[in-house]
Amino acid sequence: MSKLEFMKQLEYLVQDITEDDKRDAIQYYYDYFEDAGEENEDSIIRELGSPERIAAIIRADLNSLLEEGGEFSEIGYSDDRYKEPKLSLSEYAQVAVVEEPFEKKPLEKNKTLYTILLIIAAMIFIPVLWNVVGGGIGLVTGFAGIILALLIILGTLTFGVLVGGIAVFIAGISFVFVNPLSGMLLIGCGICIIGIGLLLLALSLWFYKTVVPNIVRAVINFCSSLFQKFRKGGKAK
Amino acid sequence: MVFNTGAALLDAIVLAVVSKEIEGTYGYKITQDVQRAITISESTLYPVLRRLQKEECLEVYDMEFGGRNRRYYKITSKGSVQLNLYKGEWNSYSEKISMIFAEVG
Repeated sequence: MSKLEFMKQLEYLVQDITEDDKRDAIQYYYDYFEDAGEENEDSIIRELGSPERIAAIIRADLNSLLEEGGEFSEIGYSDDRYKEPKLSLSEYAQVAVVEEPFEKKPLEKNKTLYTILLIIAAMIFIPVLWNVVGGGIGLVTGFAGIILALLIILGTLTFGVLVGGIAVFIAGISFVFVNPLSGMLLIGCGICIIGIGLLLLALSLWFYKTVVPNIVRAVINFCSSLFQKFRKGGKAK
Repeated sequence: MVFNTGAALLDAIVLAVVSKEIEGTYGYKITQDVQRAITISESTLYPVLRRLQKEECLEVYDMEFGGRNRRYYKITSKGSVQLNLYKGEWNSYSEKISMIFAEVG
């Protein structure tokens, strides 16, 4: 365990303590590490035992249980074993077992309260959530519908314009025999309309080739990212 | 130290260590100094310092050091009085025990 992990775990274990007391305690041990220096980090962590032990000491002290000198003080400075370079972890394990009653209660209380709150929140929010989701689905469907309509309109328009253009062109040619000038006019118009139709064709081709795949890709990415979020949320729990 | 140090004796040692520094001293240093006399765990002193602070035998102040705020502990007048009491008690206590040991020969 590193100093950072130790302190993080300690902060988590004392999070329900009053702000001032919590701040003082965390600050004390944080400063302790800082003043000891990096080289002593490991030996101090070993000496402190575990974040659970320190948290228990902090709580016991706040509950005025250490005024008689308590087990923590006496084990520490009465025992010659601690002068040895090798500290057996069993001593700390024993102390940790004694401390469980101190810290289990506040943590367990937190857990059940939390789940109750969560259930109530869920009951309130699920109908709201349904509506929001329904609205969202509606929006997405509407959007898809617009895109689909655009697709169809573009296609038919192109087709129609092209066909119309060709029709006018042919009509123009046949008219030339009847009335040359009008015929030429019609031919010219036909060519123009065909031109517009070709432009539309180019536009629709671009639309089908680039825009549609992009939209489809974006939708797929969005869906998969949502899916991943659910997965991650599930794993974290 | 082989003997079990009771809470009062630990208080006395801490007060003595802190009183040596007129400007006060900080947690890590206090632990180091106390450990010269007796073997204690790094975690032992925090409750003791807090208690002495509550009993107004020590006062705290924060001072900047190396870019962070370091908490210093300083003995109060009440703390000095308490320390003298402890010293007196210790002297008579240890004297009596030394006498018994001396009688053993």
